[in-house]
Amino acid sequence: MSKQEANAKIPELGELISLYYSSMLTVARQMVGDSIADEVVQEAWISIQKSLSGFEGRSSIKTWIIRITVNEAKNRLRKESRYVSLDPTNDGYESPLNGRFSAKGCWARAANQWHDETPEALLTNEEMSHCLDTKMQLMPNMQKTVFTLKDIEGLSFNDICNILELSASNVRVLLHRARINLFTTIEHFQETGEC
Amino acid sequence: MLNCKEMCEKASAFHDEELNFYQRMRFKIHLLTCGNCQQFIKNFKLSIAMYQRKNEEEAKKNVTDEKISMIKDKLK
Ligand SMILES: [Zn+2]
Repeated sequence: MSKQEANAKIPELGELISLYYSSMLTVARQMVGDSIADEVVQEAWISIQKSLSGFEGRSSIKTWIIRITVNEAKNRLRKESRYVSLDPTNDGYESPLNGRFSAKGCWARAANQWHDETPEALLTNEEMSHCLDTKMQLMPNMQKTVFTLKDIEGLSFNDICNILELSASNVRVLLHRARINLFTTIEHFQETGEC
Repeated sequence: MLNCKEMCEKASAFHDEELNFYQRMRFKIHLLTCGNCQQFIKNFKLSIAMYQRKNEEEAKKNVTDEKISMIKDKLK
């Protein structure tokens, strides 16, 4: 395939913006917060514009664009000394499910059937939705980034490891912690009506 | 036989279909015999699905034509 043919397969910048702006904003918001996410996304577009002609198609274009967004967000966090790259799983984590089991590992306080049983029904509760936003913001940065890349943007484990420079096992540990966090937040709200 | 605590620890691997054949069998056998774990896995999966739906709806609200054309203008 000639270089010209390869170039012909790269969508136009305008088309990319329409397709991926939303994903970029979601990732940037989780990593740097709502107030500067727009700036990070804008900076990412400048990088994308500069390097688009050199895109070699070794990953999907979505993965490539998200990688650039994550890198811009990392740069921003580094500048503000908010970036923590050392082993993100070595942080004295305790599962919120500890204490729910007997010594033999059986449920001591089991999960109950929820009042709302579909995603749609759960979503009608605005208070809970706000509660989730608050709790997500409190999650450690890498935990919510892994969760967003996997469960919201649907990236593969392999791509996530590469983009975040984390080991395969750390990515899985962080993802599971994030999901358990999400589960216990919703469960608490379903059982008590409070955040 | 897996205990319930181990079931919780493997819930993500099960959800992501990362368990091998034998691990998956052990997981499913426990599920068949344990109502508590059935409920937990149901709620666990529901939590993820709910958050995905929530994000889809918010993404639709956040991405307006104005915002997209603003970015395009800045890149010119
Ligand atoms: Zn069980």
